[in-house]
Amino acid sequence: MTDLQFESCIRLMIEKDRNGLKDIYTAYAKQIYRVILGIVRSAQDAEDITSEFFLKIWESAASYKSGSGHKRWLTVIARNMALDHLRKNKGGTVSLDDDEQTLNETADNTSVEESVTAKVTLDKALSMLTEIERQTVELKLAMDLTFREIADMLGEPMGTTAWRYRQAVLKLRKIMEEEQL
Amino acid sequence: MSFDIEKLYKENTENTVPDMDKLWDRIEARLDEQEKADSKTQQHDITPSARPKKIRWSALITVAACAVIAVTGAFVMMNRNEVKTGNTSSVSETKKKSSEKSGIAKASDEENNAEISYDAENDGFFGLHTSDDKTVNEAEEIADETAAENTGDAAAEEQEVQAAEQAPKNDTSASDHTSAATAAKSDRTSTTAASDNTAASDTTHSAEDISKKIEARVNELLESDEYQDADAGQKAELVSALFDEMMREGAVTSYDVDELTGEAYCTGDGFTVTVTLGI
Repeated sequence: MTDLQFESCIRLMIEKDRNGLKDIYTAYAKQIYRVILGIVRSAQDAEDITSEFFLKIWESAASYKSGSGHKRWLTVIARNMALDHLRKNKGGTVSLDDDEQTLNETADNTSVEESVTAKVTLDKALSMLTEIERQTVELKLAMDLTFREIADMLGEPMGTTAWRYRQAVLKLRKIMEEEQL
Repeated sequence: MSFDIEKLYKENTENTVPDMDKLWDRIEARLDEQEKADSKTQQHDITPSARPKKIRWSALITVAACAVIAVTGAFVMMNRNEVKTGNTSSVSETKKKSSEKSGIAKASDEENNAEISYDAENDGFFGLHTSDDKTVNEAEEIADETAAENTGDAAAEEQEVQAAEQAPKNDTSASDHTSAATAAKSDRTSTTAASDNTAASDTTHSAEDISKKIEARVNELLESDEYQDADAGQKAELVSALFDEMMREGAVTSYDVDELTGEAYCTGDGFTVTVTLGI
């Protein structure tokens, strides 16, 4: 979705037309869910926060400033909501039940074994990264943000963010290669 | 083995996200709830504003009553101040008008001329009205006189002509009717409708009389047992109280009691009475 498309969705939302929200949901719901899940580490919490997130942008559509980068705007809101949730619950915890539930909800059209293997492998690999590395990877891959945008969000130099991302990808590769072996 | 993290991540995302349609239904349900709640809130907000605002009559009446009391109080205070600060012009003018009143009476009735001598003496402590009464009387008298002059009231003119006939012979304008009336008015300060000089002496005489009466009253107080038994402060208070009373009656326009020097004085129209307190 381009900025112009996003702005037209925002205008619809300001006019209380749900089609605007629906379009944004279709384009970004999964990515937002992943960003939130990367912070709260709980599938159920991530789902709840994702629904809250879309209600929030429905209410605060008028506060969007055109030209500021809609992906960045969405990501900042999602991150803040996830971090608020963590603060309220005194730190996020990963629940086994949540993982099992997520496993049960995986697509049926693919090989269960393959998907389970892929999920477990990537999620396991991601969980072996540091918190800041995992967030950098999630923001880059889920929302396709630039290093500049991620650096602004994390409050650090862009070079640091880019370097950390490369280090995180190398780690993931190493971990997954070891798992494959 | 090639490692494409982006592709792997996207596949992982597609496989791990929950049922997005179900999640959307959940969001829509929440939106519906919010809209209902908002519409109820709006109705609730509109309902009280639709009602006409009640006028708070009790508050209005209270404010009006306060305003009336304030105005009345201010009016009373102003009148009191006028008397207490010794508005000499007012008192002397009043006295003059009282004399004029007396003069009119005499001019209108020559036979009783000798008998009536300052009939205003019967009013007040020393024949003087209080400030308010005098003001009213003055206004009435002046209004009557003006009306009589302007309308050419025969009786009033006759009285004035009679007064003019009794005016001093050296008044060359006495033959003129208007001048005679003027002369008659000027003679009203006299209790006997005589010449101006006589009127002046009468006024002096009146001031002397008043001052004598004041002195008598003060001496009566100074000789009283109550005064004799009182200490310095009490004596000063007693004298002050007497002067206060005189001031209220209009005989005295101002006074001062000095406890340190042991002297007090009061002033009226053309006189000053000094009193030694004997402290």
